Amino acid sequence: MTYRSADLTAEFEALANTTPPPGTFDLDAARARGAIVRRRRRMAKASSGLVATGLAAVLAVSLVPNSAPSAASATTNPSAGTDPFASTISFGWLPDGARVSGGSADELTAGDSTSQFNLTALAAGSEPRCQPNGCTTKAPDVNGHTAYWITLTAHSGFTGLDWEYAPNAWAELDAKVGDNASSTVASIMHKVAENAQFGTAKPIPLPFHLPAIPAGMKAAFALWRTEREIAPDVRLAGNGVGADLEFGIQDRSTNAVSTMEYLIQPSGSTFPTSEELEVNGKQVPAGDIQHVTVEGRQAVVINTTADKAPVQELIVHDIDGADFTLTAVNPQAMAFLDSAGGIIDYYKSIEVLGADPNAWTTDVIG
Amino acid sequence: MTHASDDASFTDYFSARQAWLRKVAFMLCQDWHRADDLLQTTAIQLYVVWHRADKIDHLDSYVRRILVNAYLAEQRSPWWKRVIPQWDDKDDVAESADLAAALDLHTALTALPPRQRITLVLRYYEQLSVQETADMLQCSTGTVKSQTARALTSLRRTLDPTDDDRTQPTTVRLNGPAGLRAPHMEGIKR
Repeated sequence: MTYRSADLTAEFEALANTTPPPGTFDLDAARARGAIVRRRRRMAKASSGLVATGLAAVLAVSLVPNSAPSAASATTNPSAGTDPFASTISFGWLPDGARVSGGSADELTAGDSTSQFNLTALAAGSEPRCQPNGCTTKAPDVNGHTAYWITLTAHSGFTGLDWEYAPNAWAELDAKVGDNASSTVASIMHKVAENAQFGTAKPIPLPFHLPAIPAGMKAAFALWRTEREIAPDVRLAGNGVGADLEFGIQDRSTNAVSTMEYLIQPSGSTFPTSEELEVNGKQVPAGDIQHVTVEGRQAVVINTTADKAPVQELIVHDIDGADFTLTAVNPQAMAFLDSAGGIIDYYKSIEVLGADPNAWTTDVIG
Repeated sequence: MTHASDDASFTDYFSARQAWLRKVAFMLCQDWHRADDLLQTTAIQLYVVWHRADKIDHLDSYVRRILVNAYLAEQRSPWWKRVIPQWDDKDDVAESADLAAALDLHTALTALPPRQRITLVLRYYEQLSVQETADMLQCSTGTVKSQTARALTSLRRTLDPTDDDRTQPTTVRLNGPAGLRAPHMEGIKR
């Protein structure tokens, strides 16, 4: 192509107007997820005021395991556990091929290439989403409990089912089950709902073992995802499965929450060069990057600013086939790392278990 | 607004802009699958604040900012550093008037750092002014101009390797076609 650059706008429009593949965007699913986020934010504001933070995509939901509103104490509250790395809900049954890919204490996502199941246990006392207009589309009872179908869509492929799994405690299941007939979808969703388990904490296997939470601090929340949710439609270099954990710990006296992100991804053959390192989409200035060797492995420490906020990050190359990234997400986290002797010393207190899920542990902390 | 009318107005609004936003997302990330993910994230974030949409001035500009921020946030994750941007639907563009040109431009855009790519897309695809682009990216107009110049130089080098004049800015109209609206925005009520 001979580039004259006389009319870049026209060339951009021609590029944007090339025939795209069929879209996967789902407005109804977005609306349903947005409604959950909105409701959770209201709940978070109403609770003890812990900081709400989260991952950027569907799991952008704050979880405050130890801060249930007083109204919740009267009934079952699946979020009331003390282990942030244990999910208090679980899928007792999933269709063949579906596997859990992300979640938190009271929300799980599972699926395969054609199906997706999002299971959420609302805090006790929360209204189901069919309120305030009334839950009118009755579904067959789930284990004898009242249930309603939720219309998420004319064109989305997602169907919702809400049921009161315990007095004054509701669960939500959103599902997209391939191209099956609606009767088949209803049947599968019912089976998933009937087998869902609530209230019994089950530890989540993750590729990290973290040091014990220091005295005077407590877990605030944990959000985790595996590769399928992080990058469902892209090729990743290397072999194995990646995982991402965002973990907040709270100072009991000041209530400040230090949020750190722990991430592994299958290693590529080469480590990113300085020119490839970016934070918030901006190339990291060379002066903000320090190349180091940590326990014999190639690594970089980044101390930079993004959107006027300080960011600290450590990337260590090829730990049993995985690159590990530790990010201090907020200034409180940087202060926490400083108190632990710095980001490298803190890293040395973490055990990173690589990209093979068979090597992951449910003994995540302590 | 009641819950029902809230949902209906959101659906009407987003449905009308879905095609536009999908193209902008594609221009930012140069991958239709990722564009759909960005669109999904944008819709979720917009829905969360939709109950106060009537208090938001320039709603289209606001939702575009959500999209751009979602793209930038995605760049923060090292996951994407190892991703090979794909043009994996070549069959779908077989009828393009100039497939080679489109692929060249796609490749050149993919090679740009995210901020430079955003700047070019906002300036020359969305046809925002320098000031509007600076407002969107929360930077100075000088930064927009310098990012634009660097990006155009990089594009020029990638697309026309025979060009000897590597140090001069290109002849692209840096002030943009004032007053014009992009064809993809026609019919959209702002």
